[in-house]
Amino acid sequence: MADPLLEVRDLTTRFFTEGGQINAVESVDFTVDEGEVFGIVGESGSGKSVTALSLIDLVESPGEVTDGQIRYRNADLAAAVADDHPAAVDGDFVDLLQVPPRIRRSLRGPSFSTIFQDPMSSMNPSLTVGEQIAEAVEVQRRASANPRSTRSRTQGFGLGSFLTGAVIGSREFVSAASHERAVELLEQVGIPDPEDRAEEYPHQFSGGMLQRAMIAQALAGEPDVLIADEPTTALDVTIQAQILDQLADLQAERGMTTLLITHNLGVIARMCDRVGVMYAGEFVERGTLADVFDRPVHPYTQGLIGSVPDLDAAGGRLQPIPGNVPSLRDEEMDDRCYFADRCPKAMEECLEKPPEFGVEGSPDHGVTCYLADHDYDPDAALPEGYFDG
Amino acid sequence: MVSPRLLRSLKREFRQSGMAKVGVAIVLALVLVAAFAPLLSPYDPTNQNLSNARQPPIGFTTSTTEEVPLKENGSVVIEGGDVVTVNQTVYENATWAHPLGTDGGGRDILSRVIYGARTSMLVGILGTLLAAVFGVAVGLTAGYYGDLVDDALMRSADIMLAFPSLVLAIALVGVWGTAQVLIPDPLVVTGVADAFRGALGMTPNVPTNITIPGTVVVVVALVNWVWFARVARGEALSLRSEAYVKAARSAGASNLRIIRQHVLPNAITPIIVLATIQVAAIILLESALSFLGFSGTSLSWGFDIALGRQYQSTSWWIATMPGIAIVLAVVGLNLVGDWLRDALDPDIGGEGGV
Amino acid sequence: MASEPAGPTPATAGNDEDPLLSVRDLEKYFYEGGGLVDRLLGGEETAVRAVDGVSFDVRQGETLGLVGESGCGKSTTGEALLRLVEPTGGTVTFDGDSVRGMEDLTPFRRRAQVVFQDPFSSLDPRMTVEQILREPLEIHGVGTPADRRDRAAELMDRVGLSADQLERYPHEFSGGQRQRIGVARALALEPDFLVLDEPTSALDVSVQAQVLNLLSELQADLGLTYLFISHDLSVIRYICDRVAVMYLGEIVEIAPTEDLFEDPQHPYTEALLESVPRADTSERERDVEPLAGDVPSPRDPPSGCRFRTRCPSVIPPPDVSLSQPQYRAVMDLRRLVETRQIGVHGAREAAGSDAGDAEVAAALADRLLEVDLPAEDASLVRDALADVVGGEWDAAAQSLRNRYESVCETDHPTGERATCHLLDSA
Repeated sequence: MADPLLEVRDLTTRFFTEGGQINAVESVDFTVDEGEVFGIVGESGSGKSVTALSLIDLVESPGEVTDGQIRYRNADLAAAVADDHPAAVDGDFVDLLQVPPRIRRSLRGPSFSTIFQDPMSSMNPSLTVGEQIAEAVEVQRRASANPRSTRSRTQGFGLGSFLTGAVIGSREFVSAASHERAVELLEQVGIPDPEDRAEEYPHQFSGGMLQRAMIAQALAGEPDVLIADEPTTALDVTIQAQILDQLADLQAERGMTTLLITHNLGVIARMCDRVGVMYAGEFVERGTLADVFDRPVHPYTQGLIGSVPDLDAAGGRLQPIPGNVPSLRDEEMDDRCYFADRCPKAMEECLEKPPEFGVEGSPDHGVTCYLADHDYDPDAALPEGYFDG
Repeated sequence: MVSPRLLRSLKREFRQSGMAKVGVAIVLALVLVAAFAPLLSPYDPTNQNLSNARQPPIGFTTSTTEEVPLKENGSVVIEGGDVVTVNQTVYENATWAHPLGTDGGGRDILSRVIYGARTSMLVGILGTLLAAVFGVAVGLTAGYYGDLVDDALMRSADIMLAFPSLVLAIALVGVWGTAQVLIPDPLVVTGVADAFRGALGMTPNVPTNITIPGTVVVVVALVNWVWFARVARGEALSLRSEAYVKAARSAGASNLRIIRQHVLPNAITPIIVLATIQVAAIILLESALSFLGFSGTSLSWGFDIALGRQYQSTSWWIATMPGIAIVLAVVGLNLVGDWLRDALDPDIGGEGGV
Repeated sequence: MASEPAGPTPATAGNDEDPLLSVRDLEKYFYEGGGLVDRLLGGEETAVRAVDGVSFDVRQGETLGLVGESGCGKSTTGEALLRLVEPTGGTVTFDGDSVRGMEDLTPFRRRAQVVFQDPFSSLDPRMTVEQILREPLEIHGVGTPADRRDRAAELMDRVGLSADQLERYPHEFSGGQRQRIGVARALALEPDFLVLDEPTSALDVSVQAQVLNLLSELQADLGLTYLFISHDLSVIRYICDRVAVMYLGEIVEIAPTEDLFEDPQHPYTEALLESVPRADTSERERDVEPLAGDVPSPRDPPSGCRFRTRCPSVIPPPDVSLSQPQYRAVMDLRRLVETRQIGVHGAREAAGSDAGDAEVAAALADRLLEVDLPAEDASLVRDALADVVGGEWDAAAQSLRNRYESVCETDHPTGERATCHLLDSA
């Protein structure tokens, strides 16, 4: 069993909007081991994307991470910040929420890299693809040249160098070595004729190609953790297969730790070692792929799996989950199980928030539901229409 | 058309923005002054009284020094064949009777500014309405149908835009003349004005008719409709491919119905913002026309500025007061336009999600 | 533009009734570059062949699925057969009447309706739900205002929503609820036929299941006929009786659902089915050979079989004995030669200024071919590349074509069930 690389404890992110407080992520716990692919699956409003953004400090105002720990194992980093921020360091682990923002920002690229759903809007349309990837490579070079430095790795791209470049003219934005590496990366992600394609602009790429380019850009930093937020949702199914194949190859080659966020259970099944199911900002079930798919305990997980039509079998009846996703507004949330109003097995004790229980027989299978502790008791069921009106 | 969500945005934006409050206050004041001019104007703005001419506004004193013959006991002193002159300084003091002073003919400037507001508001609002109705109709048609219709309509709009608006306006007024439309002032005709003025001890006479400079209204509308057409066209162009428009078509709705029920209501918000700004632009245009003498009425801020030009170095207030009024009106309207735009913009956009 | 034969002709055996909807050789071309300024500048009008010869029948009471990836023309087909966009060719017959020939579409509109994909933009944000539901009734002058209100309430009930919410605006509802309202609107005039254009693609999976069940119920209760357009194969399998697979404006395979999924005949159908990840723990073990390349542009579709540029089973000439990967590599190379996309300059620089054409050609061959070819073919390819290096692109293309031309590029395949030359009886 590999060592944990990322330990998230009690992570809570709230949005303080004019319309009230929204509890997007509520006390989320999970661990990602080095080299594994951890999937977070959920529907819209589940908080899965906000969780990812919280890890890399990309939550925008009026959102804020209000509680919790993001423990990232990096011995070099721990040594570098130990003097200034002793409270954040615990052995080789650094709690990212207790170090200043500029240090967190400097981790983006070399430690954490992200690929998003829509590559077209994540790329600068006025720079060639090669330039953008080379820039990411450049950042990594500076970081590795001075691993203990936590100053922003983008020093040198400031106004001074811009003006110098305008005056002296021939100064390249990025070095030739970085450009070469960029072409190499384009090849590694399966783009044919990488030297030529590197000179092209994002709009000249197709959707699948651009997603590959984004993966190349993400890999340029040689990150410890790759975060992929709905990486194939916008792609056609045959292109999705190509990209997932590519990601799987890259992950196997580099042993890269990956956090994969999606609403698509098929993608999870294809790519992930372990899975967390999110609903209304919380993890309702978490475990290995087999735990969650073959032995789901939480009625939401069961409902989710039962809602997906089977490609390989005819007939059968879809069992949808009745009702709608709950509001995440603080004033509207009671202190009960958030799924109770849609749950076919809601019992009276569900009006109290269930804690996380471990499932017997599985080392790592956690469920936030009383059914993990004891069987369903029809006598204790909530009356029909309890939540209406 | 005005959804509750829109009202909430408007209120929220209003509460938050100081500028919005200022703008609304100004515009509200303008509208009220224009509407109740017969009740608010201290004097009849057309009443000349040469003995009171060129009185300065409150807080100022003017003096003129001139050489006048020296008089003793009523007769002129002559010494050595010449009339003896002395320098005499005449002081004009401001009085509260004419807080903004008087013009060259002795007419009260405050009253003239108040009645000028009427003209500006009337021309501004009527002109904008006319421009909007015509421009939006053209624009929606062009944007919705596209192709040849779009080309034809927009090219003619472009032709109109090629002319500088002031030049075009002058030319049109020159050709059509300055026809006036006289409407009896309801406040005067019903006697409310007299009663009110009598009670407060103001001079009784006020103009009995409201003068609407007819050709000017038509001309400013003709000059300005193009802006509405452009905005409406842009909106129609993007709205026609919305799914709900397709849905209406698949239900069998006629094009006219779709434009009326679906495109227009959803296009209206930027048009409203444009309209407020256009009122300001039209007020400026009307003032320019009046200044140059191409107006239908003499109760206009622009006209007063023209009158006051000759006195600029000595009785500066004659031209300046109406000028300030124009500035206030335009600034106020623009602030209101900003408020509307800020409030309505998120309304135009779609849903956001966490 | 009817120079190419039509796609598969649907089998109507086994059903004596005439189909409710019959589409033959439907075409929809979009023309670009035909504006005034373009013509003045000497540009030519190009046709985007979004729908290029589509034929199928839909029988009363059945659900026909139309599945394909983006750009295949499935949505445009749906809109064209309803005349929401005007087809540029072909015939559409609804209950015996020619739809394209209709002067007044009003009676047709009452009987054939649409449900759109996007629950957020398919409802006018400025109208209340009641107004939205009443609109079709108003357009066709059905009933009194009071009747219409009642009908609106009835429709809400029918789709599982409460009539209390008639006064609300669309933005107050969730995506799934809005989609139900869209369905309710489509049912207002009691149509016979519904085109469902990706009705659940924008919804969460659990909500999708609710809406799919609703659609099934409604079909059974009201005797509706559906044309169900989607890119999601699992949904198609769940709800459709027969399925047509589209690629680049054409139907490549059409069959009853079970037959299509259990025994796909067209290589594209196979590839599609293989590409979809299953929500199953065995998914990781499943070996998937993803389809190479991107979907070609509908502006310039490949000659012959449109799928040939990506087909894993493209047919070599009978006298060529290359494996599939080898033949595929040669075909890809041919495409680069024909479109002149080989960077000769770069290769020449890399080989050195004193290298001969042959050496540069060899270097190019190494770089462009990812597989090894048998000697005879390898030398042929190098000769062609030498022509390319010398600037003789056409000669190179011709020599390669002479040897390697596939029936897939010369002849447009036809077939009843699937259009593929692999199925041609020898």
